[in-house]
Amino acid sequence: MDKDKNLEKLIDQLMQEVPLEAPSIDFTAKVVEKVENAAVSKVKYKSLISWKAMVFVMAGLALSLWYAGSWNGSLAQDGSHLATYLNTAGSWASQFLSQFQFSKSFSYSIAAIGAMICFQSLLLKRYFTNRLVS
Amino acid sequence: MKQTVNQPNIAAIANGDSQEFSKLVETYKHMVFTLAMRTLKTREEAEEVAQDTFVKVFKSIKHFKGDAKLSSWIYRIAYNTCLDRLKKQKKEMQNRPMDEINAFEVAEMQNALSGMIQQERLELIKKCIAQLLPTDAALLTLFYFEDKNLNEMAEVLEMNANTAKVKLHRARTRLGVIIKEQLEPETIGSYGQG
Repeated sequence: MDKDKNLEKLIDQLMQEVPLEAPSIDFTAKVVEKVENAAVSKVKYKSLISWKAMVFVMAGLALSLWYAGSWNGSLAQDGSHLATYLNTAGSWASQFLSQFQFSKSFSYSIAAIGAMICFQSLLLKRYFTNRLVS
Repeated sequence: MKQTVNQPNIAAIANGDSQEFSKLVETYKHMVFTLAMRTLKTREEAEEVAQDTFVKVFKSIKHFKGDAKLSSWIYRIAYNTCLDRLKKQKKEMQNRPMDEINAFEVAEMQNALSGMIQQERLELIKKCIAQLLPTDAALLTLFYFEDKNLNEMAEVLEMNANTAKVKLHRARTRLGVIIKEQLEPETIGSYGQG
């Protein structure tokens, strides 16, 4: 269409004539300062339990499990205090828990809520990191 | 509208070189600021959004793969940052009707505009761009930034080339309508005679 072509030509001509806008004189300095500040104040996460302590705890847990597992049913016969204690604690726990009747939907709800909390904590962590960094 | 582009060292910027980054800012600041200014309409907001754009560029330049032009990638960040700001403001502007402009009217507008002194004409065009919808203003600005390359503009706007073409046509027509309104009949008459 001729009129469209003419209008297109006119707008092309006008738009190319308009100069670019200029930001403030210290624009670059401000941006670089912002970027440098952001780099300095970057949030660094530090775990509450140190890496070494975590390894120690995990090793301890693994050892306890291995120890308990290695006695397998003959715990009481051994006569050791730890084995007797574990046996007693285990039977007490199973008796205690058997008093409660959990429906399947209740257990699934608990599992779903747990998953939701884990997921939301990840999102919240990201949100707060972004807020602190920017 | 074109600027000479001195390509900055992207790898150095990704490693946190702020000197090199300042070169990038210097190269693209006018274009990013112009886009923000035409979209958001106020200088203060445009300045803020342009700064945010460059901070985002700095943070995410390590993800820039080089499959698109660096300029297009920066304009996309700038455009999206402007849109985010508009969403926050929830400012609504009246859309212009898509009036028809006939060939005679276009010729009259052309005469009137060419009869104006340059400064006056520039002021008028800026005023008319300011009256466009933010998205129309951004679209037209990006089209001329990208050397009128429809595909590259469509890439910045994350839409297909045909949609971009239709939107560009509408934006041009709306700008034409605004210019026509600004150039009142008597103005057209007086400039047209010159």
